[in-house]
Amino acid sequence: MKYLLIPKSNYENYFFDFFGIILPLKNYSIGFDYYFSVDEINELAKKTNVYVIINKFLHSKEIKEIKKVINQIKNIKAYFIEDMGLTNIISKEQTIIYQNHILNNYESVNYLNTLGYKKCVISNELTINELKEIKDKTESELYYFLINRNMLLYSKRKLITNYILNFNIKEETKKLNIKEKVSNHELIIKEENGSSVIFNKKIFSASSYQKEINYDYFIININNMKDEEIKEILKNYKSGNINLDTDNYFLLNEIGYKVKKDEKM
Amino acid sequence: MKKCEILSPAGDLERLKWAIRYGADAVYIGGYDYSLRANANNFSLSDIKEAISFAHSYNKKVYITVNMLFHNEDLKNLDDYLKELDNIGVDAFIVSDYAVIKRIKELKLKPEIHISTQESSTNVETVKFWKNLGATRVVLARECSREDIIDIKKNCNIELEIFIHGAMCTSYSGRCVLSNYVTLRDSNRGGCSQVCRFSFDAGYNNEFSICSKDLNMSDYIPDMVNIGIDSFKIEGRMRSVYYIATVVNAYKMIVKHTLDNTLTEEILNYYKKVLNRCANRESAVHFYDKTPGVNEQYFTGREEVSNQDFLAYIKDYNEDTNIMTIEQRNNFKVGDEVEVFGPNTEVFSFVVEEIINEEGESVESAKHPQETLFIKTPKKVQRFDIMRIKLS
Repeated sequence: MKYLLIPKSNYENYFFDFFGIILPLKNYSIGFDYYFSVDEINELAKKTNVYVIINKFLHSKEIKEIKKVINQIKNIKAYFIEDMGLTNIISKEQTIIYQNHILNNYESVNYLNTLGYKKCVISNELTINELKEIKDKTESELYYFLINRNMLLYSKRKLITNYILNFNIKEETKKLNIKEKVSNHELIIKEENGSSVIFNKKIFSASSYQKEINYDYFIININNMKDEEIKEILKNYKSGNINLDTDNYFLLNEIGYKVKKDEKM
Repeated sequence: MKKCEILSPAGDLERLKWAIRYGADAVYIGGYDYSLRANANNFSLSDIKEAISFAHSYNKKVYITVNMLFHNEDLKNLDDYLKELDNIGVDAFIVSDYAVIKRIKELKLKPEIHISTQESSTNVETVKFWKNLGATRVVLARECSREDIIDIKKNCNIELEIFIHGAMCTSYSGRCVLSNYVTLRDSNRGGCSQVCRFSFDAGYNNEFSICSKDLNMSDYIPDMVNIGIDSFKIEGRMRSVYYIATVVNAYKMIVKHTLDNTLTEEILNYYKKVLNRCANRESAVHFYDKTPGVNEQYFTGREEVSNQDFLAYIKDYNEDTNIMTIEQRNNFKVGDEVEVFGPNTEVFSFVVEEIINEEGESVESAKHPQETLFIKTPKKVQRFDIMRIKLS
């Protein structure tokens, strides 16, 4: 297994401890702290294995513009893509399918494989057994977010701007810590360029289970984290002994989706 | 003549029949498994068979939602399910998971493949990708602007389906798992608990929600007809019979008047009023003409109102006596001004002069749910017409 890092700044010595780094492309990615220009990407690609992530949904203007941008990016390993329209722009060999929350079973991965897309990021909402079954039943190269502040919602609405306007709040901010009133579940909203994302407050970590999961690539995303959290993660992500308040959510717990009959009124 | 399909939701057989009677060209429904409304009543296979038989007898279509995102264990009975649906004559599968597309193609099933809005398709290249996989139609993301839609329509020869009415997600579809993490219910397998409508605290001494108002595209139907949209989709598989009949009928009439060049501001305003009255939440246009802002969102609670406009439906009509037999749905009384409309009945209003019950007695008010009553009407009506409060 190999480790890939999504950094939150342009250059750090620890980049070189990883097999490669995944760089969010400026203007075409969302939910990160730092976005990389084409020049920065090309510069880093001379020094280490570079992947580029494009995780925004692209509308008509953006899909036209991005063709030119991609043509300028040189010598990178591959692109992580959310919008399947990019498959008409990027070669199959350089495409890693990263449709957040979407790839949850081996048949989907195998179908993409027959289409020539042989690299996929598997969803973070699965159990270990589900992850292992996917691994057992596919030939594709599998990627998994091992440590991440999971993005739970991606909206094309200005959720913070609207909130501030509605309640006439004087403070200007693009980030809010919020709490669901009944469960006390804590979330973080961020607004970027007219869109919004919501993160789980608690960091997801599957680092204790990496041997069982055994995917080809594990992604460590240190965006949306404090310096002390990053320091701890970078120190211990391989051993799995991360001394932070993390959670593995559905790894050990199958999630339900149907209300049981006796719960229905 | 342009084809402009009105596509209605239906949560059960009764709703499906009302949708078709009121002008839906096609209806989308979910089976017990694999759809995104796991907790709706949904249809058994025998219900689906009856639904298809009923719809096809009217020359209408039935699409089945198989649009949840599958986990490994969900794949077990998928082949049998798809084959059965193929055998009973389903017209299309609405899908979002690659596994379902794979199975439909491998099994060489006849129904068309429609790509669900769960895939959030927002540009022409994405739509081309689905077309290359064998899809005949793509349900575009609700986040598409007018420019996005025109660009896709111009540059890709495939049917486009657009949501025109009903509830909106706060998120791009398929990209919200708040329900999973906050309530342990899998949103992408039909268990969404609508956390966006819950109350949140951001530390500013106020409670707020992040949910959006409903969608209402009535103003832009003529524009979308001109763009060449193939199918206008109404959301709401869990909505009432009255809601479905009213909304389907209103959009059917707006499209009809658009196509035959008789749509006036007065007609459009009337149907907008009808749509606003039958909704229980506020509505807006959202992404078609702008990025939605503060006015397109709810912040404090659900702000829903109960609708009691639906007074009765017409069970029978006697042409000799002009008496209609009705089944009561909400209270009304002698002296109330009401109106009747139906799939083939132009709306008209009248004042209720007398109400007769099943015992032949004259009563002052209709206050018993589902009671059969008799009322004289000034104009001819038909079975399954609806009587509602007169819209002022």
